[in-house]
Amino acid sequence: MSGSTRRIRGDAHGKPVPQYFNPVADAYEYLEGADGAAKMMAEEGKIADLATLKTFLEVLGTTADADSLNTMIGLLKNLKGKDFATQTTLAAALAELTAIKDTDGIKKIVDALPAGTNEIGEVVISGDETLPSSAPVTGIKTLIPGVAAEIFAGVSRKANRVAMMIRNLSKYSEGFRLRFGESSITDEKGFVLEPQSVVVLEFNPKIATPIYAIPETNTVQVEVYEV
Amino acid sequence: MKKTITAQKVSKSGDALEQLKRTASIQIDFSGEGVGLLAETSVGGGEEEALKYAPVFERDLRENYKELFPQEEPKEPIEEVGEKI
Repeated sequence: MSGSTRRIRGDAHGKPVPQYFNPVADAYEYLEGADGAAKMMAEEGKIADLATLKTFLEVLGTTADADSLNTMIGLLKNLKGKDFATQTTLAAALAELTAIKDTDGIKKIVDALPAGTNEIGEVVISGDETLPSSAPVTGIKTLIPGVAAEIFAGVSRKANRVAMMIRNLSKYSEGFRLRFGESSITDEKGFVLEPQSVVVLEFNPKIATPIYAIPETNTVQVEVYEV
Repeated sequence: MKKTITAQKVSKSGDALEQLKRTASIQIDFSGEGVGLLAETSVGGGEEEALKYAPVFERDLRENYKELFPQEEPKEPIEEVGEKI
């Protein structure tokens, strides 16, 4: 039915009063209000007062809100600024994690470190190959003029050695110097080791590094310590 | 005792640095003397330098590992026969 088929409401004297037609009730109803204004109908048929609407609006915020504000718009702006992975990226990440999980523990890192300093800091690992892992070897070596001989303490260069100490056993009174370095050293070329001086050389145990020595003038003996 | 000297071969077309860094190796095996000692070293240069150094290397090994080599027994003093005048 429509309002044209119903009677409007009247006051105590039968005069028409402010009213509205309610199609659900199929009748005119009095328009009510307060504080000098009629009540307004909101969507869903709820009557909302301005205080409630104000609260709603405050929670919602304004388009000028910064993404740090705790309003709905602020939070949405904050979310919009996030770098969210796509579903494809997440699926790829899941596949990687699953592959790692399906391995018996994380056993290996196959990728080389990128170029750069890659400074890790001081790390000491049990079984570290840069630390001595076997008993030292000591010995005396005789060096003769004109021959650059390899220096070591035992029967041959100690395998995986990490350090070698050489002492020139020539007396101060003799003053026989020697030179050490690569195989091409001569009595004029090479690092000088004065009488009674000691030099400590450190090595990468994974790289065999022969060291040669040659006296400058006379036969000289050296004391060698390898570890 | 067996001494083996192996000089590094450098091709004629090799550069000067390669020629300069050549080495010769010396191997000494004392098993012929009943001593299980095999030693190896190298010298800068070629066979000539290796031949010169080999006896020195051998002497050092005998000194550094003298406990492995049989020691010569000290000779007993020969008693003189007859009365001293």
